[in-house]
Amino acid sequence: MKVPGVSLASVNFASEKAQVQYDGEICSLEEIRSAVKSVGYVAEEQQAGVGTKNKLEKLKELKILRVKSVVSLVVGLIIVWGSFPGLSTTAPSLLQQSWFQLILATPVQLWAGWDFYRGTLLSLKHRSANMDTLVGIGTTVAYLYSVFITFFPEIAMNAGIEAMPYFDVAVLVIALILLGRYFEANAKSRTSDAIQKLVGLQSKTARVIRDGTEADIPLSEVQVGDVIRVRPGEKVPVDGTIIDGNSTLDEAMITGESIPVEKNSGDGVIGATLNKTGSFTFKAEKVGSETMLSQIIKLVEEAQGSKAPIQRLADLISAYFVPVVIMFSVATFVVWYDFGPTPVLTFAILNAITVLIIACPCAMGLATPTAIMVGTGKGAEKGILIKSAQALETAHKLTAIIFDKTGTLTNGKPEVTNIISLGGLSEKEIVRIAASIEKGSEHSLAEAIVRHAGGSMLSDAENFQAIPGLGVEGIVEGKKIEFGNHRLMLERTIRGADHVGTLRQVESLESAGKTVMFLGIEGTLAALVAVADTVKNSAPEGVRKLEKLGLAVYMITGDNRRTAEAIAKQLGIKHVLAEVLPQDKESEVRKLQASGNKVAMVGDGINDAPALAAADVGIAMGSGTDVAIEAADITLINKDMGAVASAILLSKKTMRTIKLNLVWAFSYNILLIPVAAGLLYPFFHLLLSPIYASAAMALSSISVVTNSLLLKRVKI
Amino acid sequence: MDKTLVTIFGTLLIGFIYWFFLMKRGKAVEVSDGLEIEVEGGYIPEVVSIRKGRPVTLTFLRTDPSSCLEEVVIPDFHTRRTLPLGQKVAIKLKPETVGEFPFSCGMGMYHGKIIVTEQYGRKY
Repeated sequence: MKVPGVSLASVNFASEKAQVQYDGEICSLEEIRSAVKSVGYVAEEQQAGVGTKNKLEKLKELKILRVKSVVSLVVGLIIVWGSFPGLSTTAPSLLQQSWFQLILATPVQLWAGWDFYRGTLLSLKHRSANMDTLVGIGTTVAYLYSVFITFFPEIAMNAGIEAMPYFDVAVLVIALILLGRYFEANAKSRTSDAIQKLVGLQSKTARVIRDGTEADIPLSEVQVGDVIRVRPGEKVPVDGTIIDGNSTLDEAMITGESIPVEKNSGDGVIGATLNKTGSFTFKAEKVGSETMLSQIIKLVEEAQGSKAPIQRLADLISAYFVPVVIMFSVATFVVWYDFGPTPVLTFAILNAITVLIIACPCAMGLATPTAIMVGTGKGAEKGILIKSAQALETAHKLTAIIFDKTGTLTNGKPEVTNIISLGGLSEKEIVRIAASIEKGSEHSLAEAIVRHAGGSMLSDAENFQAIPGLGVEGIVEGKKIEFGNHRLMLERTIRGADHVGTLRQVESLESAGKTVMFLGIEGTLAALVAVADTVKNSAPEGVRKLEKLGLAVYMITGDNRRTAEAIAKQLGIKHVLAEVLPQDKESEVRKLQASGNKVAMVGDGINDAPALAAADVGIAMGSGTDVAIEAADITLINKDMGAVASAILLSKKTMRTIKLNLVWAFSYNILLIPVAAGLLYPFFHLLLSPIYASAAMALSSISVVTNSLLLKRVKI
Repeated sequence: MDKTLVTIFGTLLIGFIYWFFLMKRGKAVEVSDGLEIEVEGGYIPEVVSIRKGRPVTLTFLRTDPSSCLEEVVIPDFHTRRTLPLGQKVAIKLKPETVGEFPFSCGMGMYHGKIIVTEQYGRKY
């Protein structure tokens, strides 16, 4: 049965779900429902996800907040018109009546201010206090005082108090604080934009080929091993490996790499990246919570849930702040009542209210977390994954950075560049023998030689032995073979290893940044094989950026000093830690720390985990694997060297924002609370109205959140 | 006379506020597998005790519309979660270290504590 307007319909009997794509102008949901019913099933519309529901509720809350603040503001301004000295004479006489102001103010106090009452009562039930308590007490005192004045003006006048109500204070304070809360909530929701953006990257469906038929199924139903087709312009739904076809993929959303990457059969693809030109099929290898995107989201969420050490003081103060402010407000009342000018009660009440209203614990509470949220989110957008707020904080104090040469500064794919025969063997033969002995080694140099041998027939090595830091030895085709560095030749007393001419050739190769390996056959030096790794194009600029940030850049490598220094020179690195065995990298990190440095270690996260863990900040580069993420404090998905400097710059900028926020929040509260209490009155006759106090309070927390949001614009 | 009364009353009030807000002691509620924590004007219960190494689920249910309580943060467990009004939010924890781990609202004004013990019944 065909329903006009329906372009796609797929049914999954296992999950009892059907997906229908239709043109709402041609057919309706009801028509689809009856079509489904006619074949014996009942169709129910799937409700929006929890996330959408929450968003809608939040929007509703914001709308109510906006209405309440606007109504209170209008009512407040009308009351000001009728009561403000000088201005009130222009107002209709009705507006000047206290009882009319009471009628206007009461709904605002009880309806718009209800949230403060509810918050106060609920908190008091648990012997805690918050912002609501301060505003609730402050506005209630102003309101009740005004009600008293309205009903018993004679009593007030007999007591020497001017019979002037303060309904405008109660109403405008509520209006301004609600308005502040509205803007703050709006701004605060933008601090978690990055996570929303990441979640939004997820493709909704996947075109899976099962039993020879292709069908679009919801992403949640994709399984490991499914073959998925991706057409031009579509998103890759999950992580996997291309089995057929080739294309160019835009991976910027995950890796931060702006140039599209070419992918062929056998290459890995990442879920949520965009297929540009070609069409291909791939095998799903990671689905659901295992995909790289899910891992990134989890990591960012976890980082945003952690606390930066700098927040400790603010936390400590926040915990005691509100009760202390209430006590200070009572003390203000007593001091004004005992020592203030007449009318003492009016001064005492207004100043005690001002103290309650101006205090802004929210600014302190928001100072650090909002900046951490924006900072970690900004990082994730650029392929910089920061594990915790602590890592983000430590990174800005770094003084030295060590790069494990292979894979970070170089491309990690060494190539054979020179083969020098010293005993009459052909180049091909030299490579064949060297590759035969190196076949069993896992060293990256060995890989280069085996790769260079290509299709040559390799022999098996007997008695193979790898000597860490020196090389390998064994028997190939009945001949004793030693293949490794100069030290190995000396230790095995290979003839010709000290020949001056040979050493001169070695020196010249090493000075060009090449690693030279010696091939000894039956106790005589037979050949030299030079291997070089290419330096990453982005490396010299990356090093320069780090130095500009004030860091001492070190390169650590197992290469001999001459080769290492030649490479360092190409990169512009001044500090070289050469001839370091893999197991000694950690102690080199500790040595630098012992000399007073805060040290970052950059590696590929797989074979240098101990050094990454020992460093103050471990940075894993060019990999999004679980191992790397586990070992490192910061993971750079991007292989671009510039990302290291970007991560440190992001840390510096985020910390600057946090410090600015904290200075603002602390100094605001420390300076303005005494002013609100009337500290300046004896000297300058200066007092702060509770209305100005509420405006200052509202602006204070808005400015902290806005300052954090400015981090989004920072260029890293 | 009235000034003396105001001073005495004010001082007593300050003392009361100090006692009321700052001298409260929460009693730890032991959690074996899971526990629902009501979020209303604070956390009920405020102090929970968990045995080390035991996976538990703390389910937060916010019934208080105040936006102050719309997030819960457990920093030592790298957790920050939004608590939609009236919806249960389950947080799974498996504490591996003995100690006291605070949790709070997003702005650090409402507080609770997770006490991880070696065994049940230890008194705090």
